[in-house]
Amino acid sequence: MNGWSEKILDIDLTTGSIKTYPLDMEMARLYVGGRGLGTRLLWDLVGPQVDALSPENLLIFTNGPLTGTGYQTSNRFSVSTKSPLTGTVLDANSGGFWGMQFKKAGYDVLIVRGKAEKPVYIEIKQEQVRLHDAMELWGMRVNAVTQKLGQEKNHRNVLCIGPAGENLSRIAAIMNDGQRALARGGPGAVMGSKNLKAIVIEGREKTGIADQEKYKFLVYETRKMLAANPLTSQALPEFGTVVMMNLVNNIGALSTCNFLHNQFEGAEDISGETLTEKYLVKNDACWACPIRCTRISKTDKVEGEGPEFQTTWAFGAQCGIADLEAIIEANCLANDLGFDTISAGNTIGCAMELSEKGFIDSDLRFGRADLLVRTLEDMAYRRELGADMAEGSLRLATKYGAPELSMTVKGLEMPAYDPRGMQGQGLLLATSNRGACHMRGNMLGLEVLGLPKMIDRFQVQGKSSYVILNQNSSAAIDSLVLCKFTSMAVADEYFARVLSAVTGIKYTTGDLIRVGERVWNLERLYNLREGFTNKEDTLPLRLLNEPAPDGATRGWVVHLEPMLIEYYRARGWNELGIPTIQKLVELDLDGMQTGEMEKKR
Amino acid sequence: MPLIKFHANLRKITGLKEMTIQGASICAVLERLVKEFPELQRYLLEDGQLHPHVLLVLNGQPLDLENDLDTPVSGQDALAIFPPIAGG
Repeated sequence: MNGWSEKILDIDLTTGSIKTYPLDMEMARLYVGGRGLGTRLLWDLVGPQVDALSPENLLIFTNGPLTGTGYQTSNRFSVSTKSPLTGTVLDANSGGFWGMQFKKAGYDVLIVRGKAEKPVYIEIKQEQVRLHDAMELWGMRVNAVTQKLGQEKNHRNVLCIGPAGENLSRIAAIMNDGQRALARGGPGAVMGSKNLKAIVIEGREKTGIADQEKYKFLVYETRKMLAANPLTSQALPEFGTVVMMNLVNNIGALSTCNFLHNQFEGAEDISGETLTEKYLVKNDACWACPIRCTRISKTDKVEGEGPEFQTTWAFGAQCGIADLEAIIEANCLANDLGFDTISAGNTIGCAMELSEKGFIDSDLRFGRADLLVRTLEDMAYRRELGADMAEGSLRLATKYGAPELSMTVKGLEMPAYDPRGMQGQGLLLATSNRGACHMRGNMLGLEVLGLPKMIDRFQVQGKSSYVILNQNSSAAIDSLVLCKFTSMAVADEYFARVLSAVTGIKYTTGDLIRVGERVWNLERLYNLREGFTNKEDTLPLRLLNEPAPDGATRGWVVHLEPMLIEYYRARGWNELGIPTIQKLVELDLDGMQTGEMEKKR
Repeated sequence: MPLIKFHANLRKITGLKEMTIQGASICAVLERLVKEFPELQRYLLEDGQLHPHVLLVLNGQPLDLENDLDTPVSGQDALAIFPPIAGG
């Protein structure tokens, strides 16, 4: 057993049955792990008839063949499920320590199905798997339950939901190690719907490595590359991700006040520079990570991990709030309640615009930092307007008669980048299978940072090939499962070599990228099977029709249509965005289509 | 004179958030800056050339380090200088 543990743990909460069975190794070879393996299992096990919050939906936790080996950033794991927020395929991944422990417990996959009659938590200690009563934990917040269940950094790790997940907020996260999150798309609500409060793991097994010599050499080489690259050795450890704030604002791509503006006057006040100067306690790291980008920040009231760039934006510029102390406190509270901070902040910004324009009767207004705490609590406990906000911004805005004010793609809230100032990013967000997400590939490197080469951020023609490359590479890294920051210094070629060394199966760089392309296409097929069409490959109307008002991006909208036509063609899909038979055969996906797709093809 | 805006650790090195400085082109401005703050060399230059991870933004538009260094600048212009930075 090299790389994979070759074992699936399958727990049915309805019956209490706990089974283990072998992982299909041909499936593992084709999909590797993480997002890839999770997507394939979801395709096989959760069909279009399944309501995302019903017992029939599954939580499929996966790690990868590199997880737990000690290779740089081999700490991550993934959850796949049908999203209660979007209805699309969903996977979310997270770092920290839980993923490493999950692998060391001896499993590649944990499937949780059904619904417990009363709240329970799962405890996994190697071969010993038990369900415990969690009545006394139900209602507890994330930090309290994490401590109560004995979180211990390298020994025993806790995954749990907070009140947001218990109360089925569609933007609820699953939290791990207290303050990290499997955040996007509402996996916390799926866990809540199963009456599952937590999963505690202790593991001792070592991951087998086929070629120790080669593996050690590649670890050594990777260490050198990460140390030599200023992004991974200086920029991320010193300032973390929030240092992007001033740059993105400077170029006129910082969405502000629910995307009414694309520059924020208060950006400097919520920047990485200000965070470092006033609130940073220290930086920290996930298991086996030399980059150390984690921030620990402190105010008079709270101390905790973060906030990351996207969170700082979501509770900051998106809500017109320039008070970093209030943002840090909102971040800590959102983590403790168990929210996806991007969706939570974005939804609050949407509610502020709805309120300012008279669609809802509330005191929410852009800039009201004093309302963040109360609003988050109202959302988590579904009090008053918070009950509607807990459903995410699209359902909120639709209920109050202005769906166009929801800044979402396929129902998932947008991240910070205003794509009117980054056309390729617009295409990337519009075509993302889990909805608007900056982690399904990111055009920031090419369109803004000039890495590896600067391309014109306003150019439309020719963007699709860059976007596709980015998306496939990102899906491959998510299937390994590694942190994307490593890819700033380490080429995909190295990842293919280390995967080969660990598993003993020869993967070329092309093979690895093809894994990513296979995963991307299977996710697409999943969404098509759910009834999604090319009509959902779009952006909020504001970004397509209303010219950006500020800075160097002034006057621009996203010219999506020509990019989409080019994109479908370059993907090997037809004009309706359906993968051709030829493409499916090329990716070993033949036979994975429905009659409906066949008719449209 | 163009306005220069410093970011991230460049603020620590210069002790400033922004300043004006003489120079008729991006290249000339950078040469003068390095003369005034020699420690900047370590962060901005590699083998006498601008480090490929450095980012220059002129009036909100990122510059291509290979082609745009001769761009003329004047008192109306704002040049933001970012050392290597990254984020998601």
